[in-house]
Amino acid sequence: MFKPVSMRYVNIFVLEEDVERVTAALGSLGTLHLSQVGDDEAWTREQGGRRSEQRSGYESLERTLEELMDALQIPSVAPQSSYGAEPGRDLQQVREEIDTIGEGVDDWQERKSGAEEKMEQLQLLQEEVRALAPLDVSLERLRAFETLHLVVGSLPRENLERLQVALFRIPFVIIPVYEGDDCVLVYAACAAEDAAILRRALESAFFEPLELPEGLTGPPSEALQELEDQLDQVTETLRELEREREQMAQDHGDRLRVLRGVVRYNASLLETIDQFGQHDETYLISGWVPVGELEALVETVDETAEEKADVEVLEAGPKDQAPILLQNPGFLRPFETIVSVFGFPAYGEIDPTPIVALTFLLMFGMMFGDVGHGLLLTLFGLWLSRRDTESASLAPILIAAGISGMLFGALFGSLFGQEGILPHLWLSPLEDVMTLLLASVAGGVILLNLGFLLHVVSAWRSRDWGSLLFSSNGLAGIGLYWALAGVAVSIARGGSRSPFLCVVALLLPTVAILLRQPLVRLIVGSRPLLESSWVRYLVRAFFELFESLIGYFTNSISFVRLGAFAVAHGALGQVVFIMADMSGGLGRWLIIIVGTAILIGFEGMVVGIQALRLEYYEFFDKFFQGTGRHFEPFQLPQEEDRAIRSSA
Amino acid sequence: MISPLDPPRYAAVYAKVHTRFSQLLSPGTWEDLLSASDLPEFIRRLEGTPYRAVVDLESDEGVDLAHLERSLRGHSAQAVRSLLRFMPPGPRDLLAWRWRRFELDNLKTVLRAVKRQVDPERARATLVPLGEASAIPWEVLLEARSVSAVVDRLTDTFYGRALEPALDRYHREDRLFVLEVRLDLVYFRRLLEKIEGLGGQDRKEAERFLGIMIDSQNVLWAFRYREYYGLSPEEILNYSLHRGVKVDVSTIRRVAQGASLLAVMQDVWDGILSGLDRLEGLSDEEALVHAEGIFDRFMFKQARQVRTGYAMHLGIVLGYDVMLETEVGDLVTIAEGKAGGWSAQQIRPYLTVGSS
Repeated sequence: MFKPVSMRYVNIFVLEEDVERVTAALGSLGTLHLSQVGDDEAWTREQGGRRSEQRSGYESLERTLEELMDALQIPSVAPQSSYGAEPGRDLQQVREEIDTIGEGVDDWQERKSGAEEKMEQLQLLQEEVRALAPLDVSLERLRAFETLHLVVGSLPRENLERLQVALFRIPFVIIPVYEGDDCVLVYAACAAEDAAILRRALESAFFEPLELPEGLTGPPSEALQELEDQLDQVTETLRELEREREQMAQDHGDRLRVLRGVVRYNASLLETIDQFGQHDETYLISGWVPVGELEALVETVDETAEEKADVEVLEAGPKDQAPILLQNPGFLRPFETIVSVFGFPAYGEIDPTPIVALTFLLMFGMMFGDVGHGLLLTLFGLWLSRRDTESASLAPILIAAGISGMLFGALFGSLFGQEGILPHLWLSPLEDVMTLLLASVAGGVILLNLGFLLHVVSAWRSRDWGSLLFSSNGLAGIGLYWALAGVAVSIARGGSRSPFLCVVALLLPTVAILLRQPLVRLIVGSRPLLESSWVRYLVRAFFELFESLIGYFTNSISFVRLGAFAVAHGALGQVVFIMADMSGGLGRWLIIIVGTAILIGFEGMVVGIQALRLEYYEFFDKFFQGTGRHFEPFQLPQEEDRAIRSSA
Repeated sequence: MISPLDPPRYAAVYAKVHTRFSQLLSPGTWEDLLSASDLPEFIRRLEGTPYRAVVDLESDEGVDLAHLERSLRGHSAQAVRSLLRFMPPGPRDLLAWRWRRFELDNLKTVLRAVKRQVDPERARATLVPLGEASAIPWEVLLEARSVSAVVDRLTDTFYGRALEPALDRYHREDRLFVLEVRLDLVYFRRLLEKIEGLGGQDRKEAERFLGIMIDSQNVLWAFRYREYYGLSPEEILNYSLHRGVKVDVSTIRRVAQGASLLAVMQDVWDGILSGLDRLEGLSDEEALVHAEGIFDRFMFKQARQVRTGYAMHLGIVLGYDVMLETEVGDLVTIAEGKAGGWSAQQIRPYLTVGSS
């Protein structure tokens, strides 16, 4: 809790002969987050060479396999088991097998494409001739028009209407005769003298002209019959080809799936090795591993490389940009979502999940305090938890929020917006408004100061003394915040008895914050004290200080919303029953049910947003950067059947 | 429909974007950058800003302007992309589509490079780095030997489907114009559909920011087709969008029939855009140069306003997107100016952020 899993940076030195096996073993282990070796380091990444060729070979084979499987309509199957790791040996064997299967499929595809093309041509011809049928003019005569400019062709479907709008200067006729998936076949005609305008308009609508059907003569009815006969023959050919496909899919389906698994595994393996550093015959595998998994990783490497590999383990400090693996008890894990939506904590930064879990629930409960509404929200959360949807991950938060709402409901004595049925254990939101608002601000002050303290702890842990001592969220900030609060209370009570003390209490932290940069440099002995001129520095520091002062005030007052929403929730609950009482019988119950549902849904959402806003803006702003990155150990694809050699 | 995950998403976006706003350059920083004596000095000063991570450009031959522009735009693409995962589905879909403008620009660069047989290595250096956010196989496309091969490798993608109907015409005319105009048309039509698919405040915000962008681009395209390309009225209409938010087919038809840019802008945006008087007395060709600046400044002003008031909606992200894009555009302008030895006074009129 509070701290992500400790990581160690490991450098694994492996010989060329072992690198594939070690990589495969690490991939199976799944505990190493790889770090890419930079080009400027002594260890360069492998460029070109045998493995790059192999990788290109596998990538090309994968594309071929996908095409073959698509052509034969072979479905993918669920992952099953793992492969060995010998990309060099597998490549040739896989290629030969794919070539053998591919030859048959290529031949089949060629015949199928030919038949489909023929079918398409015949269908287009059929549509063209069908469109001409009412004219009952022989095709030879139609080709000989002189006073009319007539063209036939296809254009993208969405351009048809646009073309008609565009042709606003000339009389024209456009007749759509056939609609394909994306295009439409049209006849377009205009007077011969307007032909140039029509041609440019058609071209700009991406019109593709077709010639009037050649090879067909006589009246359209005769031509159509001839086309019908030809279409029947092509349809039969396509049926025969489909039977061939089914047979080929049955013969080769399993094998192609296995081959694809091998190809993907080896391609992924080689791609991973590409990221390693290389120096002569030695490879450097670098990355982060959780401390608890370190021993197993070292054992695996030693065992796989037969003691020929060397593992160097380094401490991972905050500057190392180690990836983040949060470690929270199961009941807190759903709340990690709230944190991670904002950002992952950087390595060494405090993981605020436990605090967020507590404070979010307290704030939500306070704004949503009602035993009945909380109960319904809890039940909704329980129902959601059984659903297999993305939203199910929110269920534990909804359940906890509902319970919190119930507890605050008991404190407020509120049941479905009705007060008086239950005794209130603390106060009534609608009667003790001021107490509630003051309590809200007090809660806010506590949370803000918790944020300040977490900032101090973070700065301490990262040895950032400037931030710890002189930041507006550090010790100086805490001093200034409480000095301001003290002065405000003194003024409210009629003035301070010791104005000098007030001035000193205000001045000390103010000066510390204003002079942060020179003070830090003075302490650490760095010169010059300022990077820019004093005037420039002080102007900037003044505005930053001013912003912090405004921030202290607005951040604290911001928590008034906790009480305000509690009052609003109570009042809205009562409104539902007032409206229900104005209607009788079934209408009354309908208003109660619908009103309560709206109240829970809408108010629950608004209150959730407000609680999140307070977390993200007011609380996180004090100490949390959220610039970390998630721990993502590399794994190799594990799917389908055994390796090629076990099935060959 | 609102999902239970929407509230935390918008709350997170709200918080993230506000943090990002604080990283935009301050007026003081702009002045500092503008007063740089030359390009290396400008780069050095840029290293003292939130762009430090982007500006790692020192090479043996000195500062590479193209590389700087590419890196800055990559930064812009990355910054907006990283907000997507927090957005509710509808607005996320729209923003993801808007983000594709970076892919669109890259694709046009690839098509030009392949047509001119530019060395893939050189062409790669001119692409905006989009990382894993882009599913387009840029490396494979750059290796293509012909424009047809590029389109072929994009089969089953939006771009492939958009380009395919224009390919035969490209082969006949050997002009990339037909492919580029087709890409733009299909992209912007889809963008409009995505805006129309939204509801409530999100739609209003999308229309406020993207509507004016689409409308202005559409009108300016139509004028360019008329003034620079000498296209016929039918071609202008076919190469333009027939509807937008404030612009419709009658506006484009007026342009096609010879209306002046000032008249059209006054008609559509009178009382909205300021600075239209600057176009008076200018030829349409001259006015086109200034019109773009007028639109940019208006967009930027709108984006700045989104930071005040209630902002739990799409407007906050679009506003940030516009501000960041404008900022990057101005940085590139300054860099180009400095590379050409221009003074701050000479550069300032071409800036949007600097001039506002």
